[in-house]
Amino acid sequence: MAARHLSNVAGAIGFILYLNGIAELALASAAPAPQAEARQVLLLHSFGRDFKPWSEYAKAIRLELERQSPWPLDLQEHALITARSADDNPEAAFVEYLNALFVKRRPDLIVAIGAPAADFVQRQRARLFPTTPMILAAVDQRRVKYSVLGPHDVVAAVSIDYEAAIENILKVLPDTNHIAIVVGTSPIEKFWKEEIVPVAKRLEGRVKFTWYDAYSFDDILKHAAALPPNSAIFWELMIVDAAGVVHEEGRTLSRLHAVTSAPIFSYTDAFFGKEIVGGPQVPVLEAAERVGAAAVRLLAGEDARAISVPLTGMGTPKYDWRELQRWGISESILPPGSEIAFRSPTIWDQYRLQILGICAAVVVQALIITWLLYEHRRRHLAEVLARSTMAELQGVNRLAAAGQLSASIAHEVRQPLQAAAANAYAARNWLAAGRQDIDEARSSLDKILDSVRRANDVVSGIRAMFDKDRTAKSPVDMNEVIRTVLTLINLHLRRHRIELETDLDNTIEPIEGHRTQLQQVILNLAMNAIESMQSCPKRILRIRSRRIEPHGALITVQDSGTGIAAADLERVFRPLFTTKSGGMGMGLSICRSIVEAHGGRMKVSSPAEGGSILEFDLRCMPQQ
Amino acid sequence: MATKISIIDDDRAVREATKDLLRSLGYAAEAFDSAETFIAKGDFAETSCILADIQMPGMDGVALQAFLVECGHALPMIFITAFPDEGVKQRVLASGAYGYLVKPFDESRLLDCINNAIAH
Repeated sequence: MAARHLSNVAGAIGFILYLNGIAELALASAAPAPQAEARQVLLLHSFGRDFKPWSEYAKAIRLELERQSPWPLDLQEHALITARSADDNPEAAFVEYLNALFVKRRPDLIVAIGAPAADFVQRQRARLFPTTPMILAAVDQRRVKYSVLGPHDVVAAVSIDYEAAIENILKVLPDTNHIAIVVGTSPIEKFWKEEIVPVAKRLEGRVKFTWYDAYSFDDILKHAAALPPNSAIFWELMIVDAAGVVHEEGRTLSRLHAVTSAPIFSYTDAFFGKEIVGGPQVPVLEAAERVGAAAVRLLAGEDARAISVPLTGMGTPKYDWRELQRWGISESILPPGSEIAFRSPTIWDQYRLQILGICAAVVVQALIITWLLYEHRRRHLAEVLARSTMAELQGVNRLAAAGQLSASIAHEVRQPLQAAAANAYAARNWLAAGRQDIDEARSSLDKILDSVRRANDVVSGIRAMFDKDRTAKSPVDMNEVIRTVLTLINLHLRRHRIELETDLDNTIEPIEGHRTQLQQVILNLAMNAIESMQSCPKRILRIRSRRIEPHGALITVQDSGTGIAAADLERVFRPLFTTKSGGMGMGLSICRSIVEAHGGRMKVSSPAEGGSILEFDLRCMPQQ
Repeated sequence: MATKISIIDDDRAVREATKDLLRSLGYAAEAFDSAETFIAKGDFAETSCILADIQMPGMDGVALQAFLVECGHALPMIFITAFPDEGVKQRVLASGAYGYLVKPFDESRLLDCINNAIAH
C-alpha cells in the first residue's frame, strides 16, 4: 500500500540511505554482565530519529527495552528515509547495507518502528535475517500486512480512532464549525489523509474542513494565524509539505503553535506536551511497554506465534491545562474521567498550608470579633435593661417612700404654713385701726416671707426627692443631702421616737452626681434604720459624714436596731432580699446600684454592740 | 390672775409666729422650745393657758398634759399639730384640752379656744 503512494509523490527526494549517525547505543555493552552476552537489537526507524510521532515511540521503546530486559542490550538504530519519497529502487542497497553491518553476527531482534519501516521489513523479510524475531511496533493495524506475517514476526500495533479524535474537538468546543487538518504530502501522510476524509465527510454540513496538504508550511502558518473564530486545527503529520520541503526536526508543531489563532488537537500523545489541547489519544508509553514485553519474550527464545500483543487503542482522554486555559475550555465540559496534565501550580498549590493558616487565623479572628461584638451588644442590652429596670425600681422605691412619708412631709409643709399664717394674722392685728404698729407689722411680714421660702424649700426638696430623676450630674453637697432627707423624715423620726445623732464633716467636697439618687440612698438607709429599731427600746440613728483623702466622702448610717445576722450580711444587697413583712427587698439593692453608679462602694456590717452599720464612699470632684 | 400664755413648740418659726400673733392680740405670751424647758422654768402659776405642739422631741404635748395632770398643775391646754390624728385628738380632748388645732389654723379658732381656756 505504501508503495502505491510512494509512486505518486511528485518531486520526491531520491532514495537515500539514511544512516542516522549509526546510533550504536551500546549502553549496556559498555558494562557487559559476565554471565550473559549482550543481545543485539536492530531498531529500524521509518524516518529520521527525530520525526514525531515515531521518535517518541522509539524513545519509549528504548527505555522499555532497557527497563524490562534482563540482559545487556546492544541497540543499533538505523533509519530509512525512503518513506519520504516514492522511489523504491534503492531499497535493495539498504538491505545489503544492513546485511553487511550484521555479517559477523546477525541481530537477536528487529524492531520496526512505524508503518514505513514495517512495510519495508515485511517486503524485505526474506533478505533481512528471516529467522530473527521481529516486532512491528508503532504501526497502525491498518498498515500491517497480516497475510505475509512470518513465523518469527510479532505485531504490536496501535489503532488510531480519528472519529473519536475529531469528535473530541466538537465536544470540548461545541461551536467549532471549521477544522484545518495538518497533513503533508509524503506517502504515509497521503494514506492517513484518506483515513480522515470519511470522518470529515460524515461531519459535512456541520464542519468545514481545510486540508493543509495543499499548502507550503509557511502558508500553513499564515493561514493558521488568521483562522476565523470557532476554528480548530487537527494535527496529523507534517513530514513533507506541498512545496516538497521535508520537516524533520520536529519544530513544525511548535512553530504552528506559536502563531495559531485556533486550538490544536491530535490523535496521539506523542505530540502532547505543549501545543496540543488534548483528547483521546494513542498512548505512546502503553504501546512501548507492550513492545518491550514482547521483545523480552522473543529474546528469551519464545515462539513468536505464541505471542499476541494487544492492540493499543485510544487512551483515556488527556488534556493540557495550559491550553484549556488559553482557549477558555471549561474543565466541566471535558469527558468524564479525563486527565488534566501540566496544571500549573496555583498559589493554592504552592502555599496551601500558609493560605490555610492565614484563612484559619482570619476566621478565628473574625469569630472572636463577632463573639466580642455579640457579647458587647448583649452586655449593652443587659445594661440598658438593668438601667431601665433599676430606674423603674428607683421610681417605685421613691413612691413607696413618699407614701410612707406623706404624713411627715405634710407636717414639714404645714410648719412654715402655720408660721406664715400666724404672722399674717399678727401683721393684720398690728395694722388694725388705732394701732398702726408699722415696725411690728413689717417684722411679721418679713417672717412670712421667711416661712414662704422655707415652705418652698420643703416642696422643692420633696420634688427633688420623689420626682423622676431627669437631672444631669451636678456637684452635690452630701451634707446638704443628708440634712434635706432628715428634714423630711423629721416627724417620722419623732413618731418612732428615734434619737438622731448627726455628725457631719464640713470639710467634705461636693461630689459629682445625681442629687435625687443620692438623697434616695440616704432616705432608704435612714428608713431601714428606723424600721430596724421599731422593736428596740433604745433607738439611736447616727448619720455621719467624713472626708476621705484626697477627694472622697464616707457616709455612715448606723442604727441601734436588731442588726443583721451574719449569714444575711452577704445577701442584704441582693434584690428581693428582705426581712420586713411588707418590704419589696429592693431598698438596699437600689442603694448599692446608685452608689456604684457614682463610682463608690457600699458595705454593711453588724457590730458586736448591736445594730447595723451601712456605709458608702463617694469620690468628690477633684479641686480645680 | 395670770394672763400669760405659754407656747411650747420645737419649731422656732412657728413658736415665734404664734407668740407674735398673741402679742398682737394683746396677750402676754412666752415661747418655749420644748416641754422640758417649760417645766424647768416652773412658771405654772403665771401661766393661764398652754399652747403646745404635739409632735416634739423628748416630751411631746400629750406627755406634757399627762405630766401636768399628774403633778397637780392641770393648766388649760390647747394642742396644735401639723400631724392631725383623730385618736390623739379624742384622747387629749377627753383629758381636758380646750382645743385641738391643726396647723395652719384660723386666728378666730385660736381666739375661741384661748377665750374658753382663760374663762375657765
